[in-house]
Amino acid sequence: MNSKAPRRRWLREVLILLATFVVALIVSASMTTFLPEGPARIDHVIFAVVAFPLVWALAFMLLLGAQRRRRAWIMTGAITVAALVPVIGRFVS
Amino acid sequence: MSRRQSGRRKVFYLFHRSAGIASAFLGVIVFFTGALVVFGHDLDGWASRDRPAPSIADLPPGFIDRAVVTAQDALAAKYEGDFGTRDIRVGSAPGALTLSFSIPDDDKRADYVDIDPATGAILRAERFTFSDRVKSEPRSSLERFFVQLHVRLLVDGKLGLLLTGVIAILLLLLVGTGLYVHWPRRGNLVRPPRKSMRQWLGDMHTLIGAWSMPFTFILSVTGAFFSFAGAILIPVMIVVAFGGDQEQMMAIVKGDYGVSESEAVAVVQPMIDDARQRAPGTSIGRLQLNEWGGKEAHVVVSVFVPGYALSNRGLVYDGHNGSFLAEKAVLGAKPSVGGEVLRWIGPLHFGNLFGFATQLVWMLLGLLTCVLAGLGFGLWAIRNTERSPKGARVARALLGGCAGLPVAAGATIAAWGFAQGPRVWTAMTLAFFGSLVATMIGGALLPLGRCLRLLFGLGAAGLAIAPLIGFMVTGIGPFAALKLPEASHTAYVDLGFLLSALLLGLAAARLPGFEESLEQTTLAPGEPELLDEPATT
Repeated sequence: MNSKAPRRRWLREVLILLATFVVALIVSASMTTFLPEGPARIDHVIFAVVAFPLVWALAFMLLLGAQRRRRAWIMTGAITVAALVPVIGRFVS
Repeated sequence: MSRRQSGRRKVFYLFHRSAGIASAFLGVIVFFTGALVVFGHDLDGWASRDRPAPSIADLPPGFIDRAVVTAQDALAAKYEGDFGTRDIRVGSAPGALTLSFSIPDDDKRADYVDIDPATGAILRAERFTFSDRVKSEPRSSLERFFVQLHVRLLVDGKLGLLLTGVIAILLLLLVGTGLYVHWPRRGNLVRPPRKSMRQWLGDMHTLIGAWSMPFTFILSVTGAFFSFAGAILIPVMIVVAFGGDQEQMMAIVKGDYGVSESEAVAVVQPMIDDARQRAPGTSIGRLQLNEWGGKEAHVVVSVFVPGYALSNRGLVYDGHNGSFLAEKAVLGAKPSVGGEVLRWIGPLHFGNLFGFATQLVWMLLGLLTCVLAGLGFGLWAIRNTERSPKGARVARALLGGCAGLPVAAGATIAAWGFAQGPRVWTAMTLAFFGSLVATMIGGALLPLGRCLRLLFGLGAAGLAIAPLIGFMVTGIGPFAALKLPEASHTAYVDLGFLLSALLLGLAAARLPGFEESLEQTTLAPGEPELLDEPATT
């Protein structure tokens, strides 16, 4: 058995955990740009904050359990970039 | 099961195991203290039963108006200047009416003024950060110590919140991967554990994990919400959603209720009287005098039924003429879905949904999560006994730490009792972590069964003397407390300590017989510890 395998697995898990944290942060921030504000004018922020741990956990499990890893990373990267566009748009406009 | 599913199951199983080992010990401290602080309010009342918190509604008429003016004058004299517009919070604490005044351009500190509810005199007026305020009151520090341990593992600032937030996320991932690996079918949920020691540990781990999974899911999501919201998310959302304008967001959160244009300052007492009429059968929680002395001055009177957080309501009054304006939404000026979500998150995390019954269930389920982690450590210890003695020792040390948490709690209560004074926080910190380290050393050095018996016995002794410590500090024992209307409920805290001690004592006494009933067999080659454990080699 390869003795480096557990360490490599740990590193991969930690890397996915950190990467998906960034993904969840960007996706949640992006949610505030398109979710409805509601009568209280702050619902979009509440929904985004509540969604954050769920997005993080879901993204982590999708990346960790992916059999086609490269495709999963590309998909996640694409979603992150797509989520980043309206966030950047907020600052440009 | 397809090959792809099988591969994913193996990856999730390995993650579940390693993330569990990595996070469970700090997690167990968070769960255990969380289980304790479900009844934190009662614990605080128990620690100060000789000087109960005054009921705002029962103070003499005009007392609060006089207290606000007295405190404002004291602060104006102390800081030699015009007092100006501030947000003022009025609440009650053991033996005092407490007023906190926001400080312009300083969102970390506030001016805290404690007023004697009998005489109206100022007990003390200090400028504190919230963290320092928490540590400054020896009597209330017992409950607050456990709260701070639960919320931020005693690490000040955002780092502590991030730490507990990461634990919450790992717990959520343990739930997710555990669900995938041990998908709970009807058979799994009622299957009795097998008789071999290591299989019994594995089966109990799966069984308890499956039954407590909905609860663990709720706790991890709501816990992550609280930790990350304050530490990182709200600041990010302010930048993205409000262009970095924090004042705009705060104005939206507070809501615009259309206060009258005037320079006058209203009298608060009629608002309290009106709130009691509008919400009969409730208690007055606290008062928020927002923008007090300014153009937008308004007062929010919080009313609630103790133990039923969903009953909390806020009644908004004009700060210039005292007229009733509206019932406050959770967020902003109007009710919304987001506000309703927020209204449920707190009670779902704290267990105060429907009074004592849900609080008790939440506490027991929280303790069950600690047992779940302990079973995992036990399994890891036995698994490594032949494979890696060093690993087995680490696992036994962590299991010793888990089983030693009641010992640490008992030692903390004793330290609180004997070190009433400015060094009480340090004494409690040393007692908690010192006893935890001692129990871990015991776990690493002693045989597992003997170590658990010893720790359960010590835990029972520690909790059994807690009522004596309470009597020593307050001078009021449980039977005397029962005769005091404002402190009678605190007698149940003594009862809780004694019941917990009894259960731990019973566990210590019955452990040898239980050990004998399990077969100390090693597994046959290829025989799984967990019934549905995937092959990992």
